[in-house]
Amino acid sequence: MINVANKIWPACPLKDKNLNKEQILQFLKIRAEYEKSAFVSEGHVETRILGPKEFARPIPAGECAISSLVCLKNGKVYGGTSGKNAHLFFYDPSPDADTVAEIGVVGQNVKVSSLVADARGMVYGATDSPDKNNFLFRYKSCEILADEVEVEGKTVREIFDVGVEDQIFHSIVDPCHSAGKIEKLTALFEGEGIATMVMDEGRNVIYGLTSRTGVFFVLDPDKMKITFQQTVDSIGKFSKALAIDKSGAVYGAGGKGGIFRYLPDQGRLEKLNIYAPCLRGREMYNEVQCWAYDGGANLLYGGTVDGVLFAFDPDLRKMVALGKPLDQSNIRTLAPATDGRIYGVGGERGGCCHMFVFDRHSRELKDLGVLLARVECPWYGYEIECSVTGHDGRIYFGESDRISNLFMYFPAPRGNFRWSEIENKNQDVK
Amino acid sequence: MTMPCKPAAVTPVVFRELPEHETIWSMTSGIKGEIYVGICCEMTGGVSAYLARLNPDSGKTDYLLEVATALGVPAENGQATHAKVHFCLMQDDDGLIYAATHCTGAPLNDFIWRPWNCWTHPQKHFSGSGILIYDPYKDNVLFSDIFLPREGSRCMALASKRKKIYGISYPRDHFFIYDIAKKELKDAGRIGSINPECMFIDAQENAYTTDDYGNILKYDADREEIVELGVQLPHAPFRDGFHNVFYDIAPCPDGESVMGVTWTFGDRLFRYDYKKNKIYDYGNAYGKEEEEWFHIINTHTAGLIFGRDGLCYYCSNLIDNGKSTPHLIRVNVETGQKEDLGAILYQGRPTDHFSRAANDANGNLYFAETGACPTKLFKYTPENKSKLHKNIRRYWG
Repeated sequence: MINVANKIWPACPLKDKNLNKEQILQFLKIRAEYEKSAFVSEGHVETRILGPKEFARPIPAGECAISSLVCLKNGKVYGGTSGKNAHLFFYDPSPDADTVAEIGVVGQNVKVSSLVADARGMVYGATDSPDKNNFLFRYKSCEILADEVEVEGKTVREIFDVGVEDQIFHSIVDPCHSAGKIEKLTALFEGEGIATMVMDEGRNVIYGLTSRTGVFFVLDPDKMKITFQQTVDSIGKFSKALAIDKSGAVYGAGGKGGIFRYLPDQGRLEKLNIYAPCLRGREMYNEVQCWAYDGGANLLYGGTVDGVLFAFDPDLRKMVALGKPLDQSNIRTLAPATDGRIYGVGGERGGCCHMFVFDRHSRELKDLGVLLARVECPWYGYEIECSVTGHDGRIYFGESDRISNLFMYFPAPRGNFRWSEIENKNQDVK
Repeated sequence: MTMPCKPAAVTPVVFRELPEHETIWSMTSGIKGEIYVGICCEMTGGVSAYLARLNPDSGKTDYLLEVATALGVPAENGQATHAKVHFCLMQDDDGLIYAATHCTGAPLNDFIWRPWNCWTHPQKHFSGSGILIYDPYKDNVLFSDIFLPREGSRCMALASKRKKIYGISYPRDHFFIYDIAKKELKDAGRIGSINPECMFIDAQENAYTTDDYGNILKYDADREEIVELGVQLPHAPFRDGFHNVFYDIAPCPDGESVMGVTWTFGDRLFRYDYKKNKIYDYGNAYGKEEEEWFHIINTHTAGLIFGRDGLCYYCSNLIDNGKSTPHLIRVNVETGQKEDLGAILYQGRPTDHFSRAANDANGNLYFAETGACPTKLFKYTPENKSKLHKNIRRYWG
């Protein structure tokens, strides 16, 4: 037991009985601002639950953690999940849909680690799971399947309800939903999954990395044939992310964040002796966790395990550390906007992710806060794993939690300020 | 014309020795008839929660623990303080007290704190919920640990036979299981964005709580997984069930159901038969439905407890003369008939709102006020104290 009789207590400014009206109002305003200040307030945030809630239950808890996203040319976004059952879904952003629709189960106890799409809209996916049950799969949307519809000898009425595109109409008199077919393909590498893939639509090749031993491979998706493979790091230290620039060169990172490049025309993988930036003394732990390609400037952006954002110019072969946007580790995902801004989310697993932005025009690197949406359901975004840029400029973020939603971020218009104004001003001063 | 409210026949117990504390979020009935109270301080930075014990016979209060000190995290260290024992105070049959701390108490010299703002703040972050295992009869802290990094513990239930504690983390809203024997934490995953304020357990020590829309979730203790039961709590007709989560739950004397109330305006009283997975709607807590949304405590209802007379007592804020005023209400769970026993006043003025209730060995009921300084309990003695109904122990906060 304790004696509290003689304890001296701290004072609370709010409990001062002599506060005047102005002081009281000031405290209330401080409180109101404080309560909101941690959350994204620039631009607009929404979520979509993983299912058309008016008609079907969403993908269940424990199966809905979004692990990969890809945006097709038609603007639809396809996503894969991880969990007891790994699902494939699509989101149609058109106003008469604006809904996630589940396509089907890809596999059990796996993670859809990567999705890519070819020029026709064929989606290729890969899985990664510790129990070695990994495979490549292909998703043929209704648009692709439409070419395979047998029409000979049939009337229109007989095939009237055949879906010719992946779609969901839920706001009209006759709601309908159509999705294509998932085809399980092959296990590419014995005993390990695929960590990531990128696609060169022009060359129609898929580049990937295996998840355990870090084998970089080139895959011809039509023939399902690997045409090149090479381990990227001799002691198995590698980053599970790849990026591709406008020339078709593919970039990744090995041990200590050392950048490698695959040149498709030469069929050669080379180490560049360039390293992703990290905190001093942590070189040995360095990893590039994600990339984003800014086509407007032919710049690659990367985020590291230390939480450092960098830019890499593949033409100049120059690496620039842009800084740490957050006081957390792990830049988990990056996505380019259409105007020179790069959006990202970072933070430790089990924590409280923040979104940030880098603007290459103003060079501003800014913490935007915790994702919080009111629509379609009130929801905090604590765990984000992947992202993709939509055709209308919105950024999609895949949440990775027991219950997960598709976050959509609508960037605010960017200001007109450019860093060059400061440089020009200083030129004048000189 | 609004009628002047009838005062309830209650007697205050005032914790004058804690002049800065302004909330009581936890209270539990002791196995020897004593009352344990977690006294909290949210607005004065750098102040610890206290565990106190009321001896109902003598009326004497003992301050048992300064919680932050017992956890080894001094209240004035500049971090968010261990200023609250939220709905996380339970006593086991062997007399041991289990208590866990919650956050939002401000650091020293601050007056507000939120976890999102300070999650990674080098100084002002919350170290994480601390658990205490305390023997109140030997005045001995048997174990303490910061078991839930960075998060607070909003509500808990004790699975005495399984030697586990179930709880909900704040702000990330994860259902967790703490193994008392192994001192290990297991995360069953996120259940929503809005913390339920209560959970309860059945005889098999499965836990029940709610998601953001008041859908009842069961943690199946054998299968170790969360199951949706397909039952939604009743909600006001002008709402869709969002934020209509468990707020307070009292075990019914039948041993097969619980009486409960939901959170926030349009709060609903219900009985849930967990054996049949069936819910019975008892309507709004009392009187006229308040549809105007100003603040959650306007129609706040909590402090549910059964008297020996088999009636369920609770405190509900009603609007008296335009002011939100807690009333003591009782409901006959068989007939659904509710009776207003009057406004709970202190020195002639309305009290603030009430969080939890407990009973002593003599059939008296105690209701914990929250939101007023100094903190207080209010004792009520039902007319019929003879034992008509058995007292089912409550193993949750």
